[in-house]
Amino acid sequence: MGTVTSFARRVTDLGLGAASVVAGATIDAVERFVPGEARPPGSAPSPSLLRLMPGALLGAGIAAQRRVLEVTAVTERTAAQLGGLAARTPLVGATLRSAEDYLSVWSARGATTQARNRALVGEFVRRLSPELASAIVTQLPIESIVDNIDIDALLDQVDIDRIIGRVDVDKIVGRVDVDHIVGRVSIDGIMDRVDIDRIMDQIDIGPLAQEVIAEVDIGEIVRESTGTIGSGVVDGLRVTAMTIDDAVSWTVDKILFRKRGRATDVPGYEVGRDETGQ
Amino acid sequence: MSAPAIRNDRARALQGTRAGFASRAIANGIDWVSAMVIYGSGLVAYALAVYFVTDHPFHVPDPGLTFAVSLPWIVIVLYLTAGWGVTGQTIGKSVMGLRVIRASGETMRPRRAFVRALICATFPWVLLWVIVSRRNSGVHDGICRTTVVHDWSRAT
Repeated sequence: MGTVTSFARRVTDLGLGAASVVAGATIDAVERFVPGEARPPGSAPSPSLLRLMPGALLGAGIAAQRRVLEVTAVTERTAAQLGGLAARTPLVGATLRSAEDYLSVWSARGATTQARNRALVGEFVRRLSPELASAIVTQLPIESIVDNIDIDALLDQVDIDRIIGRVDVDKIVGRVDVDHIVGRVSIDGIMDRVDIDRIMDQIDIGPLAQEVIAEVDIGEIVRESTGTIGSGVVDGLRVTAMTIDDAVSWTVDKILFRKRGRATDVPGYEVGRDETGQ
Repeated sequence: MSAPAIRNDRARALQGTRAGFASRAIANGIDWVSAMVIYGSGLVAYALAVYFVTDHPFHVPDPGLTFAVSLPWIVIVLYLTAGWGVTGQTIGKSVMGLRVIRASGETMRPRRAFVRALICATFPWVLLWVIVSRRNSGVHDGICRTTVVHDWSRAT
């Protein structure tokens, strides 16, 4: 396919696509903002004539494009053959080559100028874009947009665990200068703002103290702490002495050839009896 | 007052029985130390009183040989009489879980306690007879008709 034919095909494709989009958008806009008569309930929706128009126009356009492209291709091929034939002719060929050189020079000049123009336009767009974006954002109904956003649905799609898993907490903590933060905290300033008296006034110490004291059996604590240690040592001493008593008695009785043990019972005495009783 | 829980089986079984020589000797040793502390405290108290009342410098008095023997003896007699005559226990007896009672099992009275204290303070070696006595009795126990039993019920 020749250069001209290829160019023509791309132009017509673009034109047909744009026409189709514009036609569809126009019909959608009309049906949305200018509603027609309500359709009777139960009646099946039928494609309207208006809806069929874009498709019909596109079909016709494609057919016309094919014909145009065929004509263009034939014309280009014929022109190329004629051009090639003319270029081989001595006089005409020289003229054509001169004309081609002349056109090449001007083409180069035009390309240079066009490059400068593109740079100028690019700079213009670059400077204009922030202003334009700012103006657009200013005009946007942010609250309305935010109201229409389903935050919950968005959050449902966010994988918090995966995000947290990618966060290096140790690295973040390592960058925090705790000493600097603590140094900026004024304890005295905080304490000055705390009204201790007011707090204490609101606390009823009496019942609280009574409750605490009731729960803490100080006597029991003292008895357990001192009594356990003291009684343990004293009991050990007593039992040791009893063992020595038995050893001494057994040894002496053996030496004295006693066959019966010692009479250590005191029939009339009861352990634990009150000392004033008889 | 109820008897405290005694965890040792042997000690629990011996409650109310006559105590042997070792238990009583240890108790007597504690009593002797206690009496000496009381005697020394009396001397210091006397020296303090003299110091505050008179112009003399603080000085613990030297009682001389006669009083150095007789005063401790008096202190021991009074100390033993007070302990045995009131509760049947001195500090030493209380520590060792012992109690001095009449041989019949009845509680001691002050007069009998005083006689027993006189004998013990004058002839402390009478305790040695406990070693050979079949009833764990000392000479003073035989004279005063007393005995010493294991009794942890009111011991400290």
